[in-house]
Amino acid sequence: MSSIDNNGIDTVFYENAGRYLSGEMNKEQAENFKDFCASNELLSEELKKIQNIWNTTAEIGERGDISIERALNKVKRKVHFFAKRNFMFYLQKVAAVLFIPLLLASLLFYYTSVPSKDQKSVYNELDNAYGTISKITLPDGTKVWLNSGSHFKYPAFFTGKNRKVHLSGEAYFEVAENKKKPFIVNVSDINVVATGTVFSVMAYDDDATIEATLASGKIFLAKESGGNKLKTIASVKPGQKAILDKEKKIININKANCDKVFAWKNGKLIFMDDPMDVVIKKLNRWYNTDIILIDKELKNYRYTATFTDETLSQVLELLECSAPITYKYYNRKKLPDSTFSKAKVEIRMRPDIKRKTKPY
Amino acid sequence: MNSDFILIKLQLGDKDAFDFIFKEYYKNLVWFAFDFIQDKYIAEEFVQGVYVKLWEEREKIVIVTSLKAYLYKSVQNKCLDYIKHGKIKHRYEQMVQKKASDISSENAFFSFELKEKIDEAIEHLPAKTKEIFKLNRYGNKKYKEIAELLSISVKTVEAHIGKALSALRLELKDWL
Repeated sequence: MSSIDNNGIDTVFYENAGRYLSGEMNKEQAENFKDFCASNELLSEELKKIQNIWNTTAEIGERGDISIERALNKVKRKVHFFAKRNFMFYLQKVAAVLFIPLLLASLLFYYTSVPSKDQKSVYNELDNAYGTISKITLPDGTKVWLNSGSHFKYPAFFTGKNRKVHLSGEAYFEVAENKKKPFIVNVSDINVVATGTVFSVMAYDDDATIEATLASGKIFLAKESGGNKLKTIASVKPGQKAILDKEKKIININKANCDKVFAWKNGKLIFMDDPMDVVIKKLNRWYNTDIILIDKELKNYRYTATFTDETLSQVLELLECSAPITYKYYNRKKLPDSTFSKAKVEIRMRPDIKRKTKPY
Repeated sequence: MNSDFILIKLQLGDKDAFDFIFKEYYKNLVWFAFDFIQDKYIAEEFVQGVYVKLWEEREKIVIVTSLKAYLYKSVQNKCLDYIKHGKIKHRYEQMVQKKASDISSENAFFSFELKEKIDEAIEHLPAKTKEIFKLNRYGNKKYKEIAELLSISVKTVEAHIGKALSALRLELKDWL
Protein backbone atom coordinates (compact mmCIF):
# COMPACT_ATOMS: atom_id res chain seq x y z
CA MET A 1 0.00 0.00 0.00
CA SER A 2 2.99 2.29 0.03
CA SER A 3 3.04 5.05 -2.53
CA ILE A 4 6.16 6.90 -3.65
CA ASP A 5 6.85 10.42 -2.34
CA ASN A 6 9.84 12.74 -1.71
CA ASN A 7 13.06 11.46 -3.26
CA GLY A 8 11.36 8.20 -3.85
CA ILE A 9 10.81 7.68 -0.12
CA ASP A 10 7.42 6.12 0.50
CA THR A 11 4.72 7.52 2.76
CA VAL A 12 5.04 4.64 5.21
CA PHE A 13 8.48 5.95 6.12
CA TYR A 14 7.00 9.34 7.09
CA GLU A 15 4.24 7.67 9.09
CA ASN A 16 6.82 5.60 10.94
CA ALA A 17 9.03 8.63 11.46
CA GLY A 18 6.06 10.45 13.00
CA ARG A 19 5.29 7.55 15.31
CA TYR A 20 8.97 7.21 16.20
CA LEU A 21 9.50 10.87 17.01
CA SER A 22 6.29 11.28 18.99
CA GLY A 23 7.00 8.21 21.07
CA GLU A 24 4.09 6.23 19.72
CA MET A 25 6.33 3.18 19.06
CA ASN A 26 7.17 0.65 21.70
CA LYS A 27 10.83 0.07 22.53
CA GLU A 28 11.27 -2.77 20.08
CA GLN A 29 9.57 -0.97 17.22
CA ALA A 30 11.70 2.12 17.86
CA GLU A 31 14.93 0.10 17.85
CA ASN A 32 13.93 -1.59 14.63
CA PHE A 33 13.09 1.70 12.94
CA LYS A 34 16.38 3.26 14.05
CA ASP A 35 18.37 0.31 12.74
CA PHE A 36 16.40 0.33 9.52
CA CYS A 37 17.25 4.02 8.93
CA ALA A 38 20.89 3.60 9.91
CA SER A 39 21.31 0.96 7.21
CA ASN A 40 20.41 3.44 4.47
CA GLU A 41 22.23 6.76 3.96
CA LEU A 42 19.30 8.43 2.22
CA LEU A 43 16.89 7.47 4.97
CA SER A 44 19.15 8.39 7.88
CA GLU A 45 19.73 11.80 6.25
CA GLU A 46 15.99 12.22 5.79
CA LEU A 47 15.27 11.26 9.39
CA LYS A 48 17.72 13.92 10.60
CA LYS A 49 15.92 16.57 8.61
CA ILE A 50 12.53 15.48 9.86
CA GLN A 51 13.93 15.52 13.38
CA ASN A 52 15.02 19.14 12.79
CA ILE A 53 11.50 20.10 11.71
CA TRP A 54 10.09 18.16 14.64
CA ASN A 55 12.28 19.93 17.18
CA THR A 56 11.64 23.33 15.66
CA THR A 57 7.88 22.78 15.84
CA ALA A 58 8.37 21.97 19.52
CA GLU A 59 10.04 25.38 19.96
CA ILE A 60 7.25 27.05 18.05
CA GLY A 61 4.72 25.23 20.24
CA GLU A 62 6.51 26.30 23.40
CA ARG A 63 6.44 29.99 22.63
CA GLY A 64 2.68 29.79 22.16
CA ASP A 65 0.57 32.17 20.14
CA ILE A 66 0.10 35.92 20.22
CA SER A 67 -2.87 38.06 19.39
CA ILE A 68 -2.14 40.61 16.68
CA GLU A 69 -5.50 42.34 17.12
CA ARG A 70 -4.99 42.87 20.84
CA ALA A 71 -1.49 44.22 20.29
CA LEU A 72 -2.70 46.54 17.53
CA ASN A 73 -5.38 47.98 19.77
CA LYS A 74 -2.85 48.50 22.53
CA VAL A 75 -0.53 50.39 20.18
CA LYS A 76 -3.40 52.48 18.86
CA ARG A 77 -4.39 53.49 22.37
CA LYS A 78 -0.80 54.45 23.11
CA VAL A 79 -0.45 56.77 20.14
CA HIS A 80 -3.92 58.30 20.49
CA PHE A 81 -4.58 56.87 17.11
CA PHE A 82 -8.21 57.78 17.19
CA ALA A 83 -7.84 61.26 18.61
CA LYS A 84 -5.12 62.60 16.36
CA ARG A 85 -6.61 63.37 13.03
CA ASN A 86 -4.30 64.73 10.51
CA PHE A 87 -5.32 66.56 7.44
CA MET A 88 -5.29 63.67 4.96
CA PHE A 89 -7.51 61.56 7.19
CA TYR A 90 -9.81 64.48 7.76
CA LEU A 91 -9.91 65.21 4.07
CA GLN A 92 -10.88 61.67 3.19
CA LYS A 93 -13.61 61.49 5.77
CA VAL A 94 -15.26 64.74 4.90
CA ALA A 95 -14.46 64.89 1.21
CA ALA A 96 -18.01 64.05 0.32
CA VAL A 97 -19.42 66.71 2.60
CA LEU A 98 -16.90 69.33 1.59
CA PHE A 99 -17.13 68.74 -2.08
CA ILE A 100 -20.31 70.67 -2.82
CA PRO A 101 -19.48 73.85 -0.85
CA LEU A 102 -15.95 73.71 -2.22
CA LEU A 103 -17.27 73.48 -5.73
CA LEU A 104 -19.64 76.36 -5.12
CA ALA A 105 -16.91 78.41 -3.53
CA SER A 106 -14.53 77.86 -6.38
CA LEU A 107 -17.25 78.65 -8.90
CA LEU A 108 -18.07 81.86 -7.11
CA PHE A 109 -14.52 82.83 -6.53
CA TYR A 110 -12.69 84.00 -9.60
CA TYR A 111 -10.42 86.87 -10.27
CA THR A 112 -11.70 89.87 -12.11
CA SER A 113 -9.55 92.88 -12.73
CA VAL A 114 -12.17 95.41 -11.69
CA PRO A 115 -10.23 98.03 -9.76
CA SER A 116 -11.69 98.95 -6.42
CA LYS A 117 -13.27 102.36 -6.52
CA ASP A 118 -11.38 104.69 -4.30
CA GLN A 119 -13.36 106.71 -1.93
CA LYS A 120 -12.58 110.38 -2.30
CA SER A 121 -10.92 111.03 1.00
CA VAL A 122 -7.55 111.49 2.58
CA TYR A 123 -5.68 108.29 3.34
CA ASN A 124 -3.15 107.52 5.97
CA GLU A 125 -0.56 104.94 5.02
CA LEU A 126 1.60 102.96 7.33
CA ASP A 127 4.60 100.79 6.55
CA ASN A 128 5.60 98.60 9.42
CA ALA A 129 9.32 97.82 9.60
CA TYR A 130 10.49 94.25 10.04
CA GLY A 131 10.67 93.11 13.60
CA THR A 132 8.19 95.66 14.85
CA ILE A 133 4.54 95.54 15.79
CA SER A 134 2.46 98.71 15.85
CA LYS A 135 -0.89 99.49 17.31
CA ILE A 136 -3.20 102.11 15.82
CA THR A 137 -6.64 103.33 16.71
CA LEU A 138 -8.78 104.18 13.71
CA PRO A 139 -11.18 107.16 13.62
CA ASP A 140 -14.16 104.92 14.52
CA GLY A 141 -12.42 103.51 17.58
CA THR A 142 -11.38 100.23 15.93
CA LYS A 143 -8.04 98.99 17.22
CA VAL A 144 -5.53 97.55 14.81
CA TRP A 145 -2.28 95.74 15.51
CA LEU A 146 0.08 95.53 12.57
CA ASN A 147 2.61 92.76 12.30
CA SER A 148 6.15 93.05 11.07
CA GLY A 149 6.58 93.91 7.39
CA SER A 150 2.97 94.94 6.79
CA HIS A 151 1.49 97.78 4.82
CA PHE A 152 -1.76 99.36 5.98
CA LYS A 153 -3.87 102.12 4.42
CA TYR A 154 -6.95 103.71 5.99
CA PRO A 155 -8.99 106.88 5.47
CA ALA A 156 -8.67 109.82 7.85
CA PHE A 157 -12.47 109.74 8.16
CA PHE A 158 -14.90 106.98 7.40
CA THR A 159 -17.35 108.86 5.21
CA GLY A 160 -19.00 106.27 2.97
CA LYS A 161 -21.47 103.50 3.69
CA ASN A 162 -18.75 101.30 5.02
CA ARG A 163 -15.41 101.43 6.77
CA LYS A 164 -12.87 100.21 4.27
CA VAL A 165 -9.18 99.71 4.98
CA HIS A 166 -6.44 98.13 2.84
CA LEU A 167 -3.92 95.59 3.99
CA SER A 168 -0.89 93.77 2.71
CA GLY A 169 0.71 91.74 5.46
CA GLU A 170 -0.79 90.67 8.76
CA ALA A 171 -3.07 92.57 11.08
CA TYR A 172 -5.27 91.93 14.07
CA PHE A 173 -8.52 93.88 14.41
CA GLU A 174 -10.79 94.70 17.31
CA VAL A 175 -13.61 96.30 15.40
CA ALA A 176 -15.77 98.96 17.08
CA GLU A 177 -19.37 97.86 16.67
CA ASN A 178 -21.42 99.65 14.07
CA LYS A 179 -23.96 97.46 12.29
CA LYS A 180 -24.86 100.17 9.81
CA LYS A 181 -21.33 100.63 8.59
CA PRO A 182 -19.60 97.29 8.03
CA PHE A 183 -15.89 97.22 8.52
CA ILE A 184 -14.09 95.96 5.43
CA VAL A 185 -10.50 94.83 5.15
CA ASN A 186 -9.53 94.86 1.53
CA VAL A 187 -6.78 92.53 0.34
CA SER A 188 -6.29 92.72 -3.41
CA ASP A 189 -9.76 91.85 -4.68
CA ILE A 190 -10.92 90.02 -1.58
CA ASN A 191 -12.75 91.74 1.23
CA VAL A 192 -13.11 90.58 4.76
CA VAL A 193 -16.34 92.04 6.06
CA ALA A 194 -17.15 92.48 9.74
CA THR A 195 -19.49 94.48 11.92
CA GLY A 196 -18.19 94.22 15.46
CA THR A 197 -15.71 91.44 15.90
CA VAL A 198 -12.20 90.37 16.76
CA PHE A 199 -10.30 88.79 13.93
CA SER A 200 -7.00 88.73 12.12
CA VAL A 201 -6.03 88.71 8.47
CA MET A 202 -2.79 87.42 7.11
CA ALA A 203 -2.16 88.38 3.51
CA TYR A 204 1.50 88.87 2.71
CA ASP A 205 2.10 89.44 -0.98
CA ASP A 206 4.61 86.61 -1.16
CA ASP A 207 2.27 84.08 0.47
CA ALA A 208 0.25 81.69 -1.63
CA THR A 209 -2.73 82.09 0.66
CA ILE A 210 -4.82 84.71 2.40
CA GLU A 211 -5.92 83.70 5.88
CA ALA A 212 -8.68 85.17 8.01
CA THR A 213 -9.09 83.93 11.56
CA LEU A 214 -12.04 84.82 13.75
CA ALA A 215 -12.06 84.97 17.54
CA SER A 216 -15.58 86.28 18.12
CA GLY A 217 -18.54 87.67 16.19
CA LYS A 218 -18.85 86.93 12.52
CA ILE A 219 -16.92 87.70 9.36
CA PHE A 220 -17.55 87.12 5.69
CA LEU A 221 -15.22 86.86 2.79
CA ALA A 222 -16.61 88.73 -0.15
CA LYS A 223 -15.75 89.75 -3.64
CA GLU A 224 -16.73 92.96 -5.34
CA SER A 225 -19.30 92.33 -8.01
CA GLY A 226 -19.77 95.67 -9.76
CA GLY A 227 -21.66 98.68 -8.56
CA ASN A 228 -19.84 98.63 -5.23
CA LYS A 229 -21.84 95.53 -4.28
CA LEU A 230 -20.26 92.69 -2.40
CA LYS A 231 -20.88 89.03 -3.03
CA THR A 232 -20.30 86.75 -0.08
CA ILE A 233 -18.12 83.76 -0.93
CA ALA A 234 -17.60 82.34 2.54
CA SER A 235 -18.56 82.96 6.12
CA VAL A 236 -16.32 82.21 9.07
CA LYS A 237 -17.45 81.25 12.55
CA PRO A 238 -15.56 81.96 15.80
CA GLY A 239 -12.60 79.63 16.22
CA GLN A 240 -12.38 79.07 12.49
CA LYS A 241 -9.86 80.07 9.92
CA ALA A 242 -10.60 80.65 6.26
CA ILE A 243 -7.67 79.88 4.01
CA LEU A 244 -7.94 81.15 0.51
CA ASP A 245 -5.60 79.74 -2.08
CA LYS A 246 -4.73 82.63 -4.37
CA GLU A 247 -3.76 80.48 -7.29
CA LYS A 248 -6.24 77.62 -7.08
CA LYS A 249 -8.95 80.05 -6.07
CA ILE A 250 -10.45 77.79 -3.47
CA ILE A 251 -11.36 78.39 0.13
CA ASN A 252 -10.87 76.00 3.00
CA ILE A 253 -12.46 76.61 6.35
CA ASN A 254 -10.50 74.96 9.15
CA LYS A 255 -10.50 74.97 12.90
CA ALA A 256 -8.05 77.53 14.26
CA ASN A 257 -6.02 77.83 17.41
CA CYS A 258 -6.71 81.54 18.04
CA ASP A 259 -4.12 81.90 20.80
CA LYS A 260 -1.49 80.74 18.40
CA VAL A 261 -2.69 82.76 15.43
CA PHE A 262 -2.89 85.97 17.47
CA ALA A 263 0.29 85.43 19.51
CA TRP A 264 2.41 87.79 17.43
CA LYS A 265 0.26 90.67 18.68
CA ASN A 266 1.69 90.13 22.15
CA GLY A 267 5.20 89.95 20.81
CA LYS A 268 5.28 86.17 20.81
CA LEU A 269 6.32 83.89 18.04
CA ILE A 270 4.58 80.58 18.63
CA PHE A 271 5.19 77.40 16.69
CA MET A 272 3.09 74.36 17.39
CA ASP A 273 3.88 71.36 15.29
CA ASP A 274 4.53 73.67 12.37
CA PRO A 275 6.54 72.46 9.38
CA MET A 276 10.02 73.92 9.13
CA ASP A 277 9.29 75.93 5.99
CA VAL A 278 6.53 77.80 7.80
CA VAL A 279 8.84 78.36 10.79
CA ILE A 280 11.53 79.77 8.52
CA LYS A 281 9.11 82.05 6.70
CA LYS A 282 7.88 83.53 9.98
CA LEU A 283 11.41 83.97 11.32
CA ASN A 284 12.37 85.76 8.12
CA ARG A 285 9.54 88.24 8.61
CA TRP A 286 10.23 88.64 12.28
CA TYR A 287 13.95 89.28 11.97
CA ASN A 288 14.14 90.61 8.40
CA THR A 289 16.56 87.87 7.41
CA ASP A 290 17.06 85.56 4.52
CA ILE A 291 17.03 82.10 6.11
CA ILE A 292 17.22 79.29 3.57
CA LEU A 293 16.58 75.57 4.05
CA ILE A 294 19.28 73.75 2.14
CA ASP A 295 18.18 70.17 2.86
CA LYS A 296 14.68 69.88 1.51
CA GLU A 297 13.81 66.90 3.70
CA LEU A 298 13.80 69.36 6.61
CA LYS A 299 10.79 71.07 5.08
CA ASN A 300 8.39 68.68 6.74
CA TYR A 301 10.18 68.48 10.07
CA ARG A 302 7.69 69.72 12.64
CA TYR A 303 8.75 72.17 15.26
CA THR A 304 7.22 73.52 18.46
CA ALA A 305 8.58 76.53 20.34
CA THR A 306 7.69 79.95 21.67
CA PHE A 307 9.96 82.95 21.22
CA THR A 308 9.53 86.37 22.79
CA ASP A 309 12.55 88.61 23.18
CA GLU A 310 15.20 86.32 21.75
CA THR A 311 17.69 87.68 19.28
CA LEU A 312 18.14 85.96 15.95
CA SER A 313 21.32 84.22 17.08
CA GLN A 314 19.60 82.97 20.24
CA VAL A 315 16.75 81.60 18.16
CA LEU A 316 19.17 79.88 15.80
CA GLU A 317 21.05 78.36 18.70
CA LEU A 318 17.83 77.09 20.23
CA LEU A 319 16.83 75.62 16.90
CA GLU A 320 20.15 73.87 16.66
CA CYS A 321 19.69 72.34 20.10
CA SER A 322 16.14 71.20 19.63
CA ALA A 323 15.90 70.29 15.96
CA PRO A 324 18.21 68.15 13.83
CA ILE A 325 19.84 71.12 12.14
CA THR A 326 23.02 73.11 11.86
CA TYR A 327 23.24 76.65 10.56
CA LYS A 328 25.72 78.95 8.94
CA TYR A 329 25.36 82.70 9.38
CA TYR A 330 26.53 85.21 6.78
CA ASN A 331 26.86 88.83 7.81
CA ARG A 332 24.96 91.58 6.08
CA LYS A 333 26.73 93.03 3.07
CA LYS A 334 26.97 96.69 2.23
CA LEU A 335 25.41 97.28 -1.15
CA PRO A 336 26.57 99.89 -3.72
CA ASP A 337 23.72 102.22 -2.75
CA SER A 338 24.96 102.26 0.87
CA THR A 339 22.10 100.08 2.10
CA PHE A 340 22.65 96.66 3.57
CA SER A 341 21.52 93.31 2.28
CA LYS A 342 19.59 91.03 4.60
CA ALA A 343 21.62 88.75 6.81
CA LYS A 344 21.73 85.30 5.23
CA VAL A 345 21.42 82.04 7.15
CA GLU A 346 21.74 78.58 5.65
CA ILE A 347 20.11 75.70 7.50
CA ARG A 348 21.14 72.12 6.90
CA MET A 349 20.24 68.78 8.40
CA ARG A 350 22.74 67.77 11.06
CA PRO A 351 25.06 65.15 9.52
CA ASP A 352 25.04 62.81 12.53
CA ILE A 353 21.24 62.82 12.60
CA LYS A 354 21.17 62.08 8.92
CA ARG A 355 23.19 58.99 9.52
CA LYS A 356 21.33 57.99 12.64
CA THR A 357 17.89 57.90 11.10
CA LYS A 358 19.05 55.55 8.40
CA PRO A 359 18.86 51.97 9.62
CA TYR A 360 21.91 50.77 7.74
CA MET B 1 -3.08 47.27 -0.41
CA ASN B 2 -0.14 48.01 -2.65
CA SER B 3 2.99 47.76 -0.56
CA ASP B 4 4.94 50.00 -2.97
CA PHE B 5 3.28 53.09 -1.65
CA ILE B 6 2.75 51.83 1.84
CA LEU B 7 5.50 53.99 3.28
CA ILE B 8 4.24 57.12 1.57
CA LYS B 9 0.71 56.36 2.70
CA LEU B 10 1.96 55.87 6.22
CA GLN B 11 3.86 59.14 6.15
CA LEU B 12 0.71 60.89 5.00
CA GLY B 13 -1.00 59.48 8.08
CA ASP B 14 -3.06 56.75 6.41
CA LYS B 15 -4.31 54.58 9.28
CA ASP B 16 -5.14 51.64 7.03
CA ALA B 17 -1.52 51.62 5.92
CA PHE B 18 -0.46 51.41 9.56
CA ASP B 19 -2.86 48.53 10.17
CA PHE B 20 -1.49 46.74 7.15
CA ILE B 21 2.12 47.16 8.26
CA PHE B 22 1.22 46.03 11.75
CA LYS B 23 -0.57 42.88 10.66
CA GLU B 24 2.05 42.06 8.08
CA TYR B 25 5.10 42.12 10.35
CA TYR B 26 4.03 42.17 13.99
CA LYS B 27 4.00 38.45 14.73
CA ASN B 28 7.29 37.66 13.09
CA LEU B 29 8.94 40.67 14.71
CA VAL B 30 7.82 39.40 18.10
CA TRP B 31 9.26 35.95 17.45
CA PHE B 32 12.41 37.59 16.17
CA ALA B 33 12.77 39.53 19.42
CA PHE B 34 11.82 36.45 21.39
CA ASP B 35 14.81 34.61 19.96
CA PHE B 36 17.07 37.23 21.55
CA ILE B 37 15.48 37.82 24.90
CA GLN B 38 13.41 34.69 25.54
CA ASP B 39 10.56 36.65 27.09
CA LYS B 40 7.37 36.92 25.12
CA TYR B 41 5.95 39.78 27.17
CA ILE B 42 9.03 41.97 26.76
CA ALA B 43 9.34 40.97 23.11
CA GLU B 44 5.80 42.20 22.49
CA GLU B 45 6.49 45.40 24.42
CA PHE B 46 9.57 46.11 22.32
CA VAL B 47 7.87 45.49 19.02
CA GLN B 48 4.89 47.61 20.05
CA GLY B 49 7.32 50.36 21.01
CA VAL B 50 8.85 50.23 17.55
CA TYR B 51 5.37 50.59 16.03
CA VAL B 52 4.49 53.46 18.34
CA LYS B 53 7.64 55.24 17.19
CA LEU B 54 6.89 54.41 13.57
CA TRP B 55 3.50 56.10 13.83
CA GLU B 56 4.50 59.07 15.92
CA GLU B 57 7.60 59.88 13.92
CA ARG B 58 6.34 58.75 10.56
CA GLU B 59 7.01 62.14 9.02
CA LYS B 60 10.57 62.34 10.26
CA ILE B 61 11.79 58.80 9.75
CA VAL B 62 14.13 58.41 6.82
CA ILE B 63 14.15 54.85 5.49
CA VAL B 64 16.77 54.09 2.92
CA THR B 65 16.51 50.32 2.65
CA SER B 66 13.08 48.85 3.12
CA LEU B 67 10.37 49.18 5.69
CA LYS B 68 10.87 45.53 6.65
CA ALA B 69 14.61 45.98 7.14
CA TYR B 70 13.97 49.11 9.17
CA LEU B 71 11.52 47.32 11.48
CA TYR B 72 13.79 44.33 12.03
CA LYS B 73 16.81 46.52 12.62
CA SER B 74 14.89 48.65 15.13
CA VAL B 75 13.70 45.59 17.03
CA GLN B 76 17.18 44.10 17.00
CA ASN B 77 18.70 47.32 18.35
CA LYS B 78 16.16 47.39 21.17
CA CYS B 79 16.94 43.80 22.09
CA LEU B 80 20.69 44.30 22.00
CA ASP B 81 20.36 47.43 24.11
CA TYR B 82 18.30 45.50 26.58
CA ILE B 83 20.86 42.72 26.76
CA LYS B 84 23.75 45.17 27.04
CA HIS B 85 22.14 47.04 29.88
CA GLY B 86 22.01 43.88 31.87
CA LYS B 87 18.30 44.00 32.46
CA ILE B 88 18.01 40.42 31.36
CA LYS B 89 17.08 37.87 33.93
CA HIS B 90 19.89 35.77 35.22
CA ARG B 91 18.57 32.42 34.08
CA TYR B 92 18.70 33.48 30.45
CA GLU B 93 22.04 35.20 30.66
CA GLN B 94 24.26 32.55 29.22
CA MET B 95 21.88 31.55 26.51
CA VAL B 96 21.39 35.12 25.42
CA GLN B 97 25.05 36.00 25.47
CA LYS B 98 25.69 33.13 23.17
CA LYS B 99 22.93 34.34 20.87
CA ALA B 100 24.13 37.92 20.99
CA SER B 101 27.66 36.92 20.20
CA ASP B 102 26.77 35.12 17.00
CA ILE B 103 24.18 37.61 15.96
CA SER B 104 26.23 38.71 13.03
CA SER B 105 26.71 35.16 11.89
CA GLU B 106 23.91 33.76 9.87
CA ASN B 107 22.96 31.16 12.45
CA ALA B 108 20.73 33.34 14.58
CA PHE B 109 18.83 34.57 11.59
CA PHE B 110 18.67 31.12 10.10
CA SER B 111 17.10 29.66 13.22
CA PHE B 112 14.56 32.47 13.27
CA GLU B 113 13.84 32.23 9.60
CA LEU B 114 13.49 28.46 9.74
CA LYS B 115 10.79 28.85 12.37
CA GLU B 116 9.11 31.42 10.20
CA LYS B 117 9.21 29.05 7.20
CA ILE B 118 7.97 26.05 9.16
CA ASP B 119 5.17 28.13 10.64
CA GLU B 120 4.19 29.17 7.15
CA ALA B 121 4.46 25.64 5.73
CA ILE B 122 2.21 24.28 8.49
CA GLU B 123 -0.40 26.86 7.54
CA HIS B 124 -0.30 25.50 3.99
CA LEU B 125 -1.22 21.95 5.04
CA PRO B 126 -4.71 20.65 4.25
CA ALA B 127 -7.14 21.63 7.01
CA LYS B 128 -7.56 18.21 8.63
CA THR B 129 -3.86 17.38 8.45
CA LYS B 130 -3.01 20.76 9.92
CA GLU B 131 -5.45 20.31 12.78
CA ILE B 132 -4.10 16.88 13.67
CA PHE B 133 -0.46 17.92 13.32
CA LYS B 134 -1.01 20.97 15.55
CA LEU B 135 -2.85 18.93 18.17
CA ASN B 136 0.16 16.64 18.34
CA ARG B 137 2.96 19.17 18.10
CA TYR B 138 1.50 22.18 19.90
CA GLY B 139 -1.18 20.51 21.99
CA ASN B 140 1.09 17.65 23.08
CA LYS B 141 -1.69 15.17 22.43
CA LYS B 142 -1.07 11.45 21.97
CA TYR B 143 -2.33 9.78 18.78
CA LYS B 144 -5.00 7.98 20.79
CA GLU B 145 -6.22 11.21 22.38
CA ILE B 146 -6.43 12.88 18.98
CA ALA B 147 -8.33 9.88 17.57
CA GLU B 148 -10.88 10.04 20.39
CA LEU B 149 -11.21 13.79 20.18
CA LEU B 150 -11.94 13.75 16.45
CA SER B 151 -13.75 10.37 16.38
CA ILE B 152 -11.30 8.86 13.89
CA SER B 153 -9.02 5.83 14.03
CA VAL B 154 -5.44 5.93 15.33
CA LYS B 155 -4.42 4.67 11.89
CA THR B 156 -5.91 7.80 10.31
CA VAL B 157 -3.97 9.97 12.77
CA GLU B 158 -0.77 8.14 11.79
CA ALA B 159 -1.51 8.74 8.12
CA HIS B 160 -2.12 12.47 8.69
CA ILE B 161 1.04 12.98 10.72
CA GLY B 162 3.03 11.12 8.05
CA LYS B 163 1.41 13.20 5.35
CA ALA B 164 2.23 16.39 7.26
CA LEU B 165 5.91 15.47 7.66
CA SER B 166 6.21 14.50 4.03
CA ALA B 167 4.56 17.75 2.88
CA LEU B 168 6.70 19.88 5.20
CA ARG B 169 9.86 18.23 3.94
CA LEU B 170 8.82 18.91 0.37
CA GLU B 171 8.05 22.58 1.03
CA LEU B 172 11.22 23.11 3.06
CA LYS B 173 13.54 21.22 0.76
CA ASP B 174 15.54 24.37 0.00
CA TRP B 175 15.90 25.11 3.68
CA LEU B 176 17.14 21.85 5.12
